[in-house]
Amino acid sequence: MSDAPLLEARGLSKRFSVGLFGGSRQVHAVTEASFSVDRGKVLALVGESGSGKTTTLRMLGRLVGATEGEILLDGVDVLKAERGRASLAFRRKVQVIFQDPFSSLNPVRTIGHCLERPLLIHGHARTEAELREGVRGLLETVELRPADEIAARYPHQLSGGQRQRVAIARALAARPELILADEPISMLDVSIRMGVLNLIERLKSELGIAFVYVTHDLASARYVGDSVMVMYAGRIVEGGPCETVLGERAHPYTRLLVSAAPDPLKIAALGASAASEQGAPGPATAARRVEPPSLIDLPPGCPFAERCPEAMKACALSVPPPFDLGGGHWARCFLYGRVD
Amino acid sequence: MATNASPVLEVRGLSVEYLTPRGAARAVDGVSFSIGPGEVLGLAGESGSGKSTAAHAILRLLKAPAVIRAGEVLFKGHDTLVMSEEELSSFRWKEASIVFQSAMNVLNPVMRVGDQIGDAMLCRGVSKRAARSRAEELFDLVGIERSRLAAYPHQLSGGMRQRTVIAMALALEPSLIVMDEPTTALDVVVQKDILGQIAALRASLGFSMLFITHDLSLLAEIAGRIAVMYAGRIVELSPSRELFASPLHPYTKGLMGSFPSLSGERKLLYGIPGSPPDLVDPPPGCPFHPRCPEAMPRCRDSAPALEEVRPVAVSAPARLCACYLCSGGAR
Repeated sequence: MSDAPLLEARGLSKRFSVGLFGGSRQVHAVTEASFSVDRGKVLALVGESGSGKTTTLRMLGRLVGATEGEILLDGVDVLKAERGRASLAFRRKVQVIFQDPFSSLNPVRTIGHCLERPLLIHGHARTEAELREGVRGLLETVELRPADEIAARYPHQLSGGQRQRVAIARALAARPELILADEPISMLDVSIRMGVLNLIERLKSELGIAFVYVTHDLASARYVGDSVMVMYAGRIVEGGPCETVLGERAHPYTRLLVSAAPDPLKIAALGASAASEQGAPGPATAARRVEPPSLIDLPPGCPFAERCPEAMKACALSVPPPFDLGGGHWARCFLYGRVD
Repeated sequence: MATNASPVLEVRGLSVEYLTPRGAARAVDGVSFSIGPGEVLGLAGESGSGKSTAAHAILRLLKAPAVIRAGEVLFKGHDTLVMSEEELSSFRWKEASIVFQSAMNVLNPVMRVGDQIGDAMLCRGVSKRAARSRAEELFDLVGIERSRLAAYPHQLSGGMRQRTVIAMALALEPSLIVMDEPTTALDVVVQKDILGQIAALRASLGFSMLFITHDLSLLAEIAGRIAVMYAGRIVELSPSRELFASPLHPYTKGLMGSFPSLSGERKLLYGIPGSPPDLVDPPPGCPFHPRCPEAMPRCRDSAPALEEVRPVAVSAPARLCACYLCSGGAR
């Protein structure tokens, strides 16, 4: 294995046109996302709805084209090398898991069929016996037993957690180096989420598969991620090793997210007396903004400036570049540097 | 706790079934609890645990194929389950109201939100002018500018829509509000904001609340007592502080081990193996036994009742648990 990152995104942007007749207005879904994914590591991408995290993931998986920017897979600019649809070779390396395991599996095909297809397409099995062995192996890997019985079932006969495991098995069938997982646990029952996260962790350590894990849940990002990036209004505002970012919370938005996240441990430690005396805000003041800006008319400066408790004059004028905070940790915030 | 003053709501042995082609699914199975004046009871459980069905049954909102099989729902002493349509219409909104999970689906998309808030009041004999000024008051209360009363739902953000629905629930000053996952569809920052606001409104207006959620950690911040549901039954009912400090039921313990934390050391969590049972064909005995790490042979034979657990100290508040591990101490 080389030290070079498995995948690198450089200045990825996506704009969607809205309105009738192709529209002149544009939604800036993702703006200049640059980052890299290391081999065998989990990169968590955290943000609220509309922050551009899923669009970023879909660009990486080439399910939507990028408006600007480059995607380097093993050093090769794939968007230049292959125009339009992704090649089979790309798909063999990069696979996607979707949020909703209820709609991502074909309802009229058995689980076995759904796993045989990618084995055939990617040439990992040819004969009947190889296929059967392949399917069984995949189901065993994702801990669905007894494998033969599961393979004969249809998606509606499985629970949500089992279905999500099938979706993971299907991704594994290509023997990928990178799996892009879009909120893979958010639609699952609370009690079975950890099982799926632990499976991701195991696939990483045992098979050396890298993951990009998109989530709105900071705690699960911390649980499974090696590094984390926080997105806000289409921009990555902070990134770095998971513990550093969530521990130091350099960007004011990261601080806001962390403080808003319910944390059972914190509460248990305080005792539930906190129940009555939490910082009751009183009848809210209408002026307070708690929601991100419109992505159509992005402010010229830092997108978080109007909600930021530490906003300065500079913040309204230009978007802060990423400032290096050491140890691979960086933040796009003028608290950590100036541009003159 | 709730025993001193007479409770606002008392539910006794409520059972609800959904009639499916495969047979009856018992979504709520012998649920009993009470809520005192100004109290917040949290009702936690996974999807399919029956928490929403129970809440809808209390307000008589269930429609076929749901059938209420047994039980009493005493609201200030009156059984809502035997109320006539007429009685119900003066009970709903005035005495008890509900805030649903998805505000987008609750609001009429082609009606201005101000008119929708007014509607509930006009139906109950409030004059147009009074309804209008009350709607303005309510928007002040939930922190939306009065001018937005003229907006259509799609012109409001998700958070504002949820606030609108909360305003509507407050309109006739009910003594009980059922919150059915009011923040689940929202982002964390907005969620925190709305939770804080709900807590503040409750403190100033003094209504009781049944707060339903799948996220136990939310309840820690808002509920005085928490009932945990599994497969249609309440398996544990404890004051929040005690519940978080020392969960009694193995399912509650499992749920606690299902939420990774943002602070403290990163440790391996296991969640709960297996998946929730099929309610048409539930396992015999305790419905949790197939997933329970502490299951004993007798758990398969009969389901333990929800019983008071002898407190460690005499002064400690009462806790209820439906598990043979807790009943009558160690056996």
